[in-house]
Amino acid sequence: VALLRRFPDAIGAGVAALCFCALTAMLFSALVWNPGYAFEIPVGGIRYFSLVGVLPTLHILLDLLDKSPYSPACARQNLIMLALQVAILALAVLVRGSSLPSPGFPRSQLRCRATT
Amino acid sequence: VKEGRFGTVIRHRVTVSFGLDPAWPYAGVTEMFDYEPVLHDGMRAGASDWNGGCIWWDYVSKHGIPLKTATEQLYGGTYETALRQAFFRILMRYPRPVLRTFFYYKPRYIVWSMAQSLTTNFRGVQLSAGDKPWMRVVPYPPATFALLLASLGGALAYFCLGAMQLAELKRMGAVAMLSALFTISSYLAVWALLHTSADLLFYCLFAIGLAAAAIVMSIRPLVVARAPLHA
Repeated sequence: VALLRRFPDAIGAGVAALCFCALTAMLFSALVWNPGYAFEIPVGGIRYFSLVGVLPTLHILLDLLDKSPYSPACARQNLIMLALQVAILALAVLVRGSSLPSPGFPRSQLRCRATT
Repeated sequence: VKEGRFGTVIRHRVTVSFGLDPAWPYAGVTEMFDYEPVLHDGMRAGASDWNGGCIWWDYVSKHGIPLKTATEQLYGGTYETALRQAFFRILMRYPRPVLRTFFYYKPRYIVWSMAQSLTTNFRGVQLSAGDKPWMRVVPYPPATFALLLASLGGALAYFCLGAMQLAELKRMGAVAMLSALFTISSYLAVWALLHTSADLLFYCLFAIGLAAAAIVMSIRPLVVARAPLHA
């Protein structure tokens, strides 16, 4: 919802359509049909959690690349949507640390900040 | 955070990943670490956590860390420090094998893991190890195929309708590629297995979808231009 509100143009709908398509196609990959791997990465399990950060990551990167001028009210709304996605990404990272590199933050950076 | 357990044990995994090289343990590497009093077996072939233990017990004995503290600090901040130091010691002593591991074997793991992940089994054919009850392949219910077709049809219809411009598709592709590249960095640092690289598989499927969308969008003007002639 946040993605579609931030990008009401074709990009938002395109990203959402392809994301759901790719996630559905993943149900037919070896990660699901092969019991040896399905045991290691059950759908909805901790390892699958790295996928929770994908949509927020795409939102954040699209937002960073968007150079269009916005009115103050619109910019504020965009910021709220961005904050929502950052919160979801933070949740995904807390559950599964491997979500962190996808938006371009090295894991060691987080560790340094956490320990100092 | 205080104990250094906030994030994952990245230095442990990076150091242990030397084991992806078939030549591991490198000649002389076992002599670099003094783990004999605790772990008699020594360094093992493959990316085994055991090797991290060997390095840790060497650090424990050299720094006079009491046994109780050593077990409590396993996989903690001090353990990560020990593994980081060991990583650089091994890198300095065996630069060529280390570079070979990171830039030859690890990319091969990524390719292998993606190729294996993309295999399908629509008919629910049993695996050769099907005698183990938990390895039995459960066939897909017919409704799941309807779900897949609906999902593909929905995405295809969206790109056929012409709401999106090629420039916007390129922007989507650039963003997805950027994110995938960042994701690959972690698989080069550690290693990719099927069950740990779901996000990379997602980006592969996303890229396939983008390529299909680009084909649809390039064909669409030709179809639209020909339509009035038939009318």
